[in-house]
Amino acid sequence: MMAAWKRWKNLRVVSQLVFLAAFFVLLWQARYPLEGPIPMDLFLRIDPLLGVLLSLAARVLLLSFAVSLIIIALSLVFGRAFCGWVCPMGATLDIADRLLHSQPKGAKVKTRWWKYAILTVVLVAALLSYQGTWLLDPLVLLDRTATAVVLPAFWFLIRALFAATSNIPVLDSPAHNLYSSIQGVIVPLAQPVFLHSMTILLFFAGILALEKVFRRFWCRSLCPLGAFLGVVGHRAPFQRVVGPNCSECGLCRENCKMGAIYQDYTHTNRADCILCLNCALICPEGCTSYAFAGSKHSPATFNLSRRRLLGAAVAGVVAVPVVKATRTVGQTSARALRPPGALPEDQFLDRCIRCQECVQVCSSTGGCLQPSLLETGWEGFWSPIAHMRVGYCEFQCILCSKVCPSGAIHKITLDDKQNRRMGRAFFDRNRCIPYDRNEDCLVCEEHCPTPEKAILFDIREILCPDGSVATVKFPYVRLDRCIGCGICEYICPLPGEAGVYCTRENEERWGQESTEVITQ
Amino acid sequence: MHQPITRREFLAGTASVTAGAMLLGPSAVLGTAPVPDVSVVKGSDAVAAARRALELLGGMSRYVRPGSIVVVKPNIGWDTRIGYGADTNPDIVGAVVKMCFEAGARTVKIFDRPCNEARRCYMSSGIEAIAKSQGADVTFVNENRFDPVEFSEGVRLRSWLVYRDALPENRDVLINVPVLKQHSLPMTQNGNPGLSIGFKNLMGVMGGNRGEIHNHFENKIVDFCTVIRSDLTIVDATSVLLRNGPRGGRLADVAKLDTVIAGADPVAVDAWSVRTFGYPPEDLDYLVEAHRRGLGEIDLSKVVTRQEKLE
Repeated sequence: MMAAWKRWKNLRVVSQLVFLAAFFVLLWQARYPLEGPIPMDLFLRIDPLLGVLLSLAARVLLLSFAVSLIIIALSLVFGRAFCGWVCPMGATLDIADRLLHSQPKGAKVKTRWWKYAILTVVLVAALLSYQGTWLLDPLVLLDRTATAVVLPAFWFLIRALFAATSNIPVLDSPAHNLYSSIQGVIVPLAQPVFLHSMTILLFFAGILALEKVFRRFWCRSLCPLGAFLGVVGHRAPFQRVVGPNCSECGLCRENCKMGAIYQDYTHTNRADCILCLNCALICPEGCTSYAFAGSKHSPATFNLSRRRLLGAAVAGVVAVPVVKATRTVGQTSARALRPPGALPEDQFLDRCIRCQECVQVCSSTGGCLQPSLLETGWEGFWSPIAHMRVGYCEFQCILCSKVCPSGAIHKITLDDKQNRRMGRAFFDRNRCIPYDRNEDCLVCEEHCPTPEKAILFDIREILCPDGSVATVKFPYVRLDRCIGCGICEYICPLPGEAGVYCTRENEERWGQESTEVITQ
Repeated sequence: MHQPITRREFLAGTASVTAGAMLLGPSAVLGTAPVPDVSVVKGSDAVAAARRALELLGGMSRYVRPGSIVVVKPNIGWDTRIGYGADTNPDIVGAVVKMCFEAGARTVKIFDRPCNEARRCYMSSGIEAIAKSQGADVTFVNENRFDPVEFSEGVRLRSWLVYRDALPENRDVLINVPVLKQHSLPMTQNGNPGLSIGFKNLMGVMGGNRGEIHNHFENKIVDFCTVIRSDLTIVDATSVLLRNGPRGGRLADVAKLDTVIAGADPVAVDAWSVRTFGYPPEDLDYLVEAHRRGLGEIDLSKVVTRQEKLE
């Protein structure tokens, strides 16, 4: 009997590792040229909580999340099996628990209600049109951390190894050939640069540190998806069953990493049990098993009193104006351009879950997209902005719009992209080389990608301070042609602030056409 | 666009050929036609034009010895489609690679440091696929493999980072395969458009912040080419961007000149390309500077040239 449970437990661990690996493989699929049969945002779209809250907040039924009905069905039959067997965040936490030697402390259950309170807050806020799930959804959290921290660090390590070999003459040539063959396959061509990635790491590290309190602290106390699946699956027929031979030794309860076993040892809180099978494995009498036992066998407990529920609902109501009032008007955030095809700002922020899929795919081509900090206000925290000094928006690229799981970036065509303005370029004539030094430069004009150049130049004779006359090409912007792609700002050879930069002026969001005909 | 050779140029060319032949002795006069400095071949089949251009120069084996390591440097600078004149015609690159192997090359290396994302450029230019199919090693530029090079004769540039595989000590032959196109950077006289040809194309082996090459370009690019010299330049003037270069994007800006220009003298080849584009090479400032510094001949009346038109 024990041997059988051991096999089932091993199968669970394998399942967790396979899903964790699949998560990273799919995320790494989000790169140019975006091939592969399985959609790279699948792990986000199987998340029913995201589907429900996004649809509520945006007042649109997002059918792309229909695939999450599989997880709903799974939960209706097996409770929170998703959390124990599938969730890559759960697998990450189990690994962290091993490394941190976290104790299960199954008798400690006082924080259980927190997650239902969090779920209430985000649900109420979504009803009032604010989508706050982006902060704590586990799949989004992992996606964001993997994109901004884990994958870049992994790539940096590989690059550093190859950089070291390039200085050893015998290794240089074979290492270069190997490196070239893995570029674009295992490592991206350019190391991504995320200016604020440490904030994402700190947030995630905080969640990992809480595991020291007890095992699966996050899943027991904080995870809104766990709470959602607990509510959905709290009457699931497949559940833990304890036979009559129970000696009430208490091992199962003490070792339950979800704190889901009641004091009588025989009944289980089905809203918290993640079917990890550890209790069956540890039971000295061998009387614990899992089976279909009808929907009324064990009662679920949420510990969310009426007072707490009301408090959470009020917090959800209050959160909406508090957060939305931080929205910056166009002036302060004008340098933070949104991806091409982005919805108008209010809709964009309601939809964007900060999963960083667009940032991930962008880092494999132009590399301008970044998780923001406060450039677009607190409401826009970690939302994608284009930083044109770090990268630029590639003229032939619409990959960010293809990977966005929530539709915050509309799925545009290349023709849409090449004829829509993200913003416009400005010359800073105090810094631009021809204006500042009376010398030619024109790197911006060279790179300007619009078929008819948006950056043109005048050739003028100019009197230099030493009395000589120089003939210099002075660049300027044709407003009706500039789409604000930012390659001019990116490529400007000046150190620090560029001599030409882009702002949101003249931007055309999806569904919000310019009210003015732009002419020169 | 294309200007036929004038009688004066023809006579001058003939005279210089005759003078050269007399110096070489009777065997050259009595043997096959003398080997020209530059060949200019017009023909709608780019592969045939490239092959003929090399035949007229005496064959690829004059430049590529058996067992040699060859670097072929096309322009793979931009993520644009074939035929738009921003990147070198892939058929010409493929033909060059094939000729190198026919001449006995051990390795043919192809790389460029593009302006757009490298994989996009390698794929959309068509160059990666065709060069690989001909057996070339097509690799991405590796940021760790740039080495500083001193320019002892440099007027503006003292030193710059150069890609390791392009350094003279790491290869036997450097074949520059640029595309002729309009480029606003190079300074010109008499209002003629600037052009990117062979000299500008060698910026693809430069590391560092290449934008800094743009001011005093005519000095800096010549400084660079005093050390990084191509042994052979084969210019793709098949689809030529007339405006909105060097990236382009409209077929309306592309002229079908169907011409391949080849030769060992980098100044003479660029000069012939300028004439093919339609104005006197002396109007392109960096060529005047390169000639002044002794890198080659700008006066086309002194350049032995074979022109041919393929049917």
